[in-house]
Amino acid sequence: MTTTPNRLLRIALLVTAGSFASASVNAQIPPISPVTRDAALAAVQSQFAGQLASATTAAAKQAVYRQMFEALIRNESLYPKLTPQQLRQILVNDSSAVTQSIVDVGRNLRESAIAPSTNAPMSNPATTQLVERSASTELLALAADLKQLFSADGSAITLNLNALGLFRGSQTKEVIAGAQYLYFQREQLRRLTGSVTFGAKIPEKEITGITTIPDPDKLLDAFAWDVKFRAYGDRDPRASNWHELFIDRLGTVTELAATVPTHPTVPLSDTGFARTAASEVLGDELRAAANRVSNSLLVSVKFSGQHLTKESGRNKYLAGMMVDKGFADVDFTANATFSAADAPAMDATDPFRTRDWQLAAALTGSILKDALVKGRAAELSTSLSGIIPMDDDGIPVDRKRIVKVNTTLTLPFMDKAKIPLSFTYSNDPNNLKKEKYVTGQIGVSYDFGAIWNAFK
Amino acid sequence: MAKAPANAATSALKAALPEGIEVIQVPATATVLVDVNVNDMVIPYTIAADGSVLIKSLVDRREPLPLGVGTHRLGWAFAHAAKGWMHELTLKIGNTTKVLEKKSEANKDQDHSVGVVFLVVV
Repeated sequence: MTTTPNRLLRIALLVTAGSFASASVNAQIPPISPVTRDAALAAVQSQFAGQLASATTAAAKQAVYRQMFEALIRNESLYPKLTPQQLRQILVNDSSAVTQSIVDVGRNLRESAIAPSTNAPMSNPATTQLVERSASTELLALAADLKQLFSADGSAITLNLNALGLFRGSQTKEVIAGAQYLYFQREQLRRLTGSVTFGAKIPEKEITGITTIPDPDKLLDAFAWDVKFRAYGDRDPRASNWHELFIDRLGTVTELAATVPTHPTVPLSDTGFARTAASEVLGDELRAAANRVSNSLLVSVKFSGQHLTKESGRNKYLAGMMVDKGFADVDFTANATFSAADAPAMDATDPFRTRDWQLAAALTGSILKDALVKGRAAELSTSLSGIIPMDDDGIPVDRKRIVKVNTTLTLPFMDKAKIPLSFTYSNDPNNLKKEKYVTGQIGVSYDFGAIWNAFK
Repeated sequence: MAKAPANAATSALKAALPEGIEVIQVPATATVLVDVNVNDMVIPYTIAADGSVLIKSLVDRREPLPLGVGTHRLGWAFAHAAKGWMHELTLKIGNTTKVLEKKSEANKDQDHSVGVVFLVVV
C-alpha cells in the first residue's frame, strides 16, 4: 500500500469540490444499539495526531493506526455493560427483526475444549477411557462402541440422551431466530443429560473389582444407565454465560471495526490503514475470547447403575463428580467416583458388597493444528487412574489398589472422523484385557474404523 | 442493467485508493438495499455507512441505504465464534445485485473480516 502526494492531492480535490457527502444515514434504529463513539474516537485521533503526521511510510502509518484502534477499544466507556436481562431482551428484539431463516446451530472452539462425553466412560464398564469429560452430547447421539477399543467383546452401544431432546419438536418452529436466542429458550434443560449402555458383555471382575474369584473373566450381559447434571459452567458460545463477552464486548469491537474506517474524520486516503488495523485488532480480541471460553471451569455430577441382566441381585451403583478446566491450550479433567457393587457368594461366604473410590485425572491438548487436516488438530491425552478399595473386615478377599496410566493420540481424518491410538500401563495386567494388544503390563489399542466409515 | 460509464469523480477516486478497496458508482435515482444473510452468529455484525451504524444484528437483515449525491463509505465487520458460521453481504442497486463479501467456515475462510467500499452517487 502506498500513499503518493499525487494521490492525496486528487482526494483533496474531491473533498474540497463537495463530492464527499454528509455522514448522516437515515436508517431505522437497529435492535442492538450502537455505542456512542465519536468523542472517544476524537480523543484517540488527537492523542495520535503527532505520530500520524510524522509517519512517512505506509508501514509506519499502519502501525500508528493499529495503536489508535487498540487505544480506542481500551476505552471502557464505549462498552454498554448491559445487565443479563438487557442482553436477553436484545436477543429477543434482534431475532424479531430477522428477514430470512437460519439453520443449524453449532459451536466453534478448539475440538478438545467442548469437553463432550459420548461413551459414558465413568459408568460404562466396556470402555477403555479413564476419565469422563463434564459436558455431554447435544440432543440425541448414538455412540456405537462396535470396535475392540471400547468393548470387552466388541458389542456395547451407548445411547446418549439430553433432556432438551424432549422439547426439540417445539424448538424447531423457532429456527428463524438467532443462535443465542434459541439456546437460552431451554438453557437449563441442557444441563441434564443421561445415557443408556446396553449390549455390553463385561468380565465379572469389572463389576466387583475382584480378580481372585473363581472365574473373574467370565463375560456377563450388562445394562448400564447414568444421569449427568452440569452443575457449573458452559463452554457453548451460545450460552448466556457468554452474552456479555460476545454481545456486549466483542459486539462493540466489531461495531468499531466497521464504523471507524468509514468515519468522516478518517481521511479517505487512510481508509485502508484503518480497515487493516481494525481487522487485526478484531482478530486478536476474537482469539482472546475463544480462549476464555475454552478454558472456563465446568463441573458436573453423575449417578449411574450397572445391572447384570441374567443374574439376579447383581448391581453396581456409582456417584461421581467431573471437573474440567482449561489452561492455555491444555484441558485438565478430573473425576472422583464412589461405587458399591454386589459380589457373588464365594466358598464359605454369603454374597457381599464391595466399595471403591476411583480417582482419575487427565490432560488433553490439541496439537498438530492444520498439519494433518486443514482446520483440525490432533488431540493428545494423558490420564492417570487409581482404584482404591474401601473394604471392611467382612470382605473375604484381599483386593489391591489398581493404577492405570493411559496416553491416547486421536488423529483427525477428513472433515469429521477421528482415529484413536491408545497406550495403557497398569500394575495389574489383568486390567489390560480390553486392549487390542498386550505385552507385559502395557496394552495398545487402535481404531481405524473411522477411515472406512469416512468413505462409506 | 447496463453498467454506467464511470464519471470523473469515480475514476479519480479509484486511482487514489489503495488496491483492494472497491469503488462502486451508484445512479442517484437507484434504490440501494443492503442485504445480510448470516448463519450461527453469536457476535453481532455491523454494517456502517459514513461512520454511522446501519445494521447491528445477529440475524439476517435487509435495510435500505439512503444516499445523497457524492462519495460515501460503506463498511462492515463480522466475527465468528460458532461452528457452521457463514455470512454473505450483498448490495442491491436498483435491479443489480453485487455480492460484497461471502465467507464461511465450510470454505475455511478466516473467522473475522473487516471491509470497506466506496459508493459514488452520481
